[in-house]
Amino acid sequence: MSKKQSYYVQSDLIFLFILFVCVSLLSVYNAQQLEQYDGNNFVFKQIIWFAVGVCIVAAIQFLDLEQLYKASALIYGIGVLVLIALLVAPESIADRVNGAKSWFQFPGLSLQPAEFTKITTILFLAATISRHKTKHAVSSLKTDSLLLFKILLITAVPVFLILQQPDFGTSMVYLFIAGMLIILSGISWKIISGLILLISAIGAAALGFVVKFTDLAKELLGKQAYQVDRIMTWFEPSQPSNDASWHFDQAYMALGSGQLFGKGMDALQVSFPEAQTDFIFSVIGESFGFIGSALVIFLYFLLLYKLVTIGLNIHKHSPFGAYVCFGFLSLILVHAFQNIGMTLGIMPVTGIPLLLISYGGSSILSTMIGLGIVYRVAVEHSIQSDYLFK
Amino acid sequence: MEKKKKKKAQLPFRLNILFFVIFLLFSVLILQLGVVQILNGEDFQKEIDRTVQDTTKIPVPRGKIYDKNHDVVVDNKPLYSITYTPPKGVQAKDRLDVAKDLAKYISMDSPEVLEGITDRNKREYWYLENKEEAVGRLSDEAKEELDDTDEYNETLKLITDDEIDDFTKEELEVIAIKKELDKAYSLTPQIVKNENVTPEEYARVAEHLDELPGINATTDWIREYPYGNTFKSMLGSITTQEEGILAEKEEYYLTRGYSRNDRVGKNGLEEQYEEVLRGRKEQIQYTTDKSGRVLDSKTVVQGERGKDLVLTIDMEFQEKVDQIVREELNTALTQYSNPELEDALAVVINPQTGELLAVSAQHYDKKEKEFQNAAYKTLYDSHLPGSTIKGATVLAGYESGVITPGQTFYDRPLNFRSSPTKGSWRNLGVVNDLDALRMSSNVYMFYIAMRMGGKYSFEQNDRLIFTEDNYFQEMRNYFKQFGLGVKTGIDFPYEETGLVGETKPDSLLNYAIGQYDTFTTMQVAQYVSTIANDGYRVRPHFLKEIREPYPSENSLGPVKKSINTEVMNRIQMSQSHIERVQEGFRQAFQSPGGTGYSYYGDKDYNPAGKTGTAENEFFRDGKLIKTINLALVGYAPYDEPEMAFAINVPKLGTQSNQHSINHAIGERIMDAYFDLKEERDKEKNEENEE
Repeated sequence: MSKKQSYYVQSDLIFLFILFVCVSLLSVYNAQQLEQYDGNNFVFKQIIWFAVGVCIVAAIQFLDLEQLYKASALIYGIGVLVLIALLVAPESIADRVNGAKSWFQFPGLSLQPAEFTKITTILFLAATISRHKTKHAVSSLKTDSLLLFKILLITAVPVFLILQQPDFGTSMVYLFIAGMLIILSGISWKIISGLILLISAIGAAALGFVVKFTDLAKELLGKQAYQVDRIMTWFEPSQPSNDASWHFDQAYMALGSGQLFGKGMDALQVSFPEAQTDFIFSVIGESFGFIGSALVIFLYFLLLYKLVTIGLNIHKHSPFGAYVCFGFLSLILVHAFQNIGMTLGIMPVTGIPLLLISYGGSSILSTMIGLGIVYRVAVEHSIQSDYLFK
Repeated sequence: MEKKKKKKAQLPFRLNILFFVIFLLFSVLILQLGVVQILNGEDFQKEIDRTVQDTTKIPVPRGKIYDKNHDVVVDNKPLYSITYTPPKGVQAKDRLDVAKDLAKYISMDSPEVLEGITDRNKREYWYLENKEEAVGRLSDEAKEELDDTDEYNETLKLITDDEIDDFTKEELEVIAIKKELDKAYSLTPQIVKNENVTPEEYARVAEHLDELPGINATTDWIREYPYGNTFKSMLGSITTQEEGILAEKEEYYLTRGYSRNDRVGKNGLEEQYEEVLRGRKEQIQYTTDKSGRVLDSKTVVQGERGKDLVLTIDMEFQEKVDQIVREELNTALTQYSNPELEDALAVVINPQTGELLAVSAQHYDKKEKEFQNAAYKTLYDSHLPGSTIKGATVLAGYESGVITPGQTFYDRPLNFRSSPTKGSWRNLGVVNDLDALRMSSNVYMFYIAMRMGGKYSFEQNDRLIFTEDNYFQEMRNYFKQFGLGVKTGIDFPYEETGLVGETKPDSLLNYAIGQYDTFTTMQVAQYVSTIANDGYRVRPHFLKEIREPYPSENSLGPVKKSINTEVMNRIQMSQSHIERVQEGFRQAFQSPGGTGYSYYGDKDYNPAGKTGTAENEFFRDGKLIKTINLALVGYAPYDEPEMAFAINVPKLGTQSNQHSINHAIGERIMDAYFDLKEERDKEKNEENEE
């Protein structure tokens, strides 16, 4: 293997990825044994998605980070256009699923654009932050405010569009990523703490208003009044159980029944909907027990650690690359924590997949694209450091 | 420089903090994972392993009813039937899916079914098919104010008439099927279609059972009556599946393992012998896990169809009696002036065993201008019996000691101060007890009554004052020994005991000649049987035997239980006194001067009996209407009675040239009975010779 080729073998990333693929395929296989969605071979499809994903990762390695940096604005623009297209698309290709217009549906293929625009938004945010930092080497409150404004504006556009679908959970993911990047972009603590205070104040006021004047709040929200009910259920845990919570209870029971060692392959006893997607962690818990589930959590921890390391190492050479890493880190973090937390009953129930494990073309492909770019950043770092130490 | 250095350190510092936060967050996840899986895991597993056992009861065919000669009176006609047993927790949407699938295999397009579809059925269908649109129409305020049920009802209202107007025939069929499915209770079979299921439909459904959750193809049955309306009102009927168990006896049925949609006997013998006819349902126990999957099913109780009844009724004879009563009623209606006449009643019983041989009442419906079988009237309607009960009066006289056999009285009209004059149908002169029965002397009975009241000396224009206090009670108690004024004990869900009048001296005289309290024809039949049967009062009954269900369709199984003759009591009177009355009855029919002599004097089956005419006056619209009841009791043969009968035809006209309908019916019934007997004996002999 030549020196140049060896840059492209990031063995720890590859090793982590293979572990994730194994976990994903095993748990999707187990979920499939519940036979709730007869006639669908999820494992086979998931293998295809991973295979396509690997090709994409490989293809991305041919790109230069500089090229990505320059094209980021364009890519972001395309992403926003796709989101607009989704909203205006006829129902024949974008029918509502569970009341939300989130999917393009073509024969044999469904795509969720919001998954992909996560990556395009991260790219443009990273590019914007690094451009800003080169331009304003010395930061002041003024420049920091400007950067904050840019970040918020870039995030606001897709968030607004996604709220129209409406998909509350996914837009929260965007806000979380933006928040993480704001903190890591070096914006002064003064501004950040001010921002946090402001948001907390508004949030608390809004919450207080809803709780105190529930009826008025519903009137103001009109058609979105059910959101108020959602909030109210946090405060009234003894609500009679409806279908959704019955499904959750089933998944929760399944997870718990895995106990320390799990039930092994092909031995699930409890069926619940969305076992192969949003509630995949319950399948992992039932199949592989506390030990297996804890290992999966640790696997995410390792991935996050790796992303932090890459970002930290490269940020001197390529702030853009570093911020891409941090954006991707935020994405993985929020999905993993929210999804697992939801399954464990400490986070509210939202339809957010467990990235790299849950079955689903859109989430797998978009995550692989993100991973591909991070991989390219890691390769870049290897090249740079090699060059430096020569 | 210092400033720059600070900047450089900024990112790693923030990253470290961030990474520490990530570490904390993930620790929380691991901690909670431990709580859920290690601390509570065992409880969850227990919850999963907990299974639920449910028992489904599958109805069995009802027992059949046979007559005395083992001819089928009530049969079960098997029907192909499509049933639906909903699994637990099934939703309206699921039922709609099943209905749509089922509609591919069966047709539900008979006019009655399609007409049975209500507006609401259509709206519910439209709602399920267009749920989002329907729900969207309801204003947010309304959604907030109303509870789920009201919200649903409001939403249904918002569906316009146009939208539910133009369903295709296919859609209407789906609606009709869904309507049936909606009626089902969880885990209890409900019949979706059982009339006109063709063998093709049955086969198609049976083939596709695996696509139709809860649907089953079975055989059901309906009651069939080979004799049409004959005796039907006594046989009774059963409820439909919609009616289910009788609401007023709901607890009774539910504690006996009935389902709400079970068909039960709702009147007549079907109700009386419900316990026998119902059979034992097959019980299948399903073990399901928490998610409703069936893990195991086993038959815990083997089903057995209902036991069969064999009746004492001879249907051929019953048909003849019905015909006789109907024809004579028709004669009285068409050839004589009888504007009030509606009913004619007759009961034929074996006096020794209490077996009822024929129970007939014909009712002429003046509006519909048709005769109806109304046999139940022999138990439900009570009438003045007239002189037919004089046997009981004479026996009461003997027993109370006011007369002895051979006692004579002078029969002429008795004048009372301040009450109407009372006499016999004509002045009979000196009569003894036998003459009194033979010629039907009222005056003789008046003397018995007066003596029982303590009045032994009578002068014309005497005031009617009794010295005994409980004279009326004493007389009624004697009558009750014959079954007059009490329940006969018949095996039927209901029987009337008759009207009881006030107790006055004058009334006792009327009571003694059958002109006061009213009795049902069944009570009178029991009374004459008691006299025919040497004083033994037997319980009249329709049921002869209970037979075990037999595996083969059309033959009777072994006898499970035979109904024996049950003597309810023996009257107090001595055998010699009873024989005296029997002789009086014989003379009434067979001696010259007897009130029935002209009809029965030449009969070789030696009948005995007593005629009766009662004045039956009533007010209608403030106007007194005078009618008479013609009655007859009797038995034959005199020395070894095998049949006894009671006949009453109320509300005939009072004119003198009246149709003697009681005799016409009585003579023909006895003739028919003995002719049929002869015929049967001949057949039997021929069979034996072969």
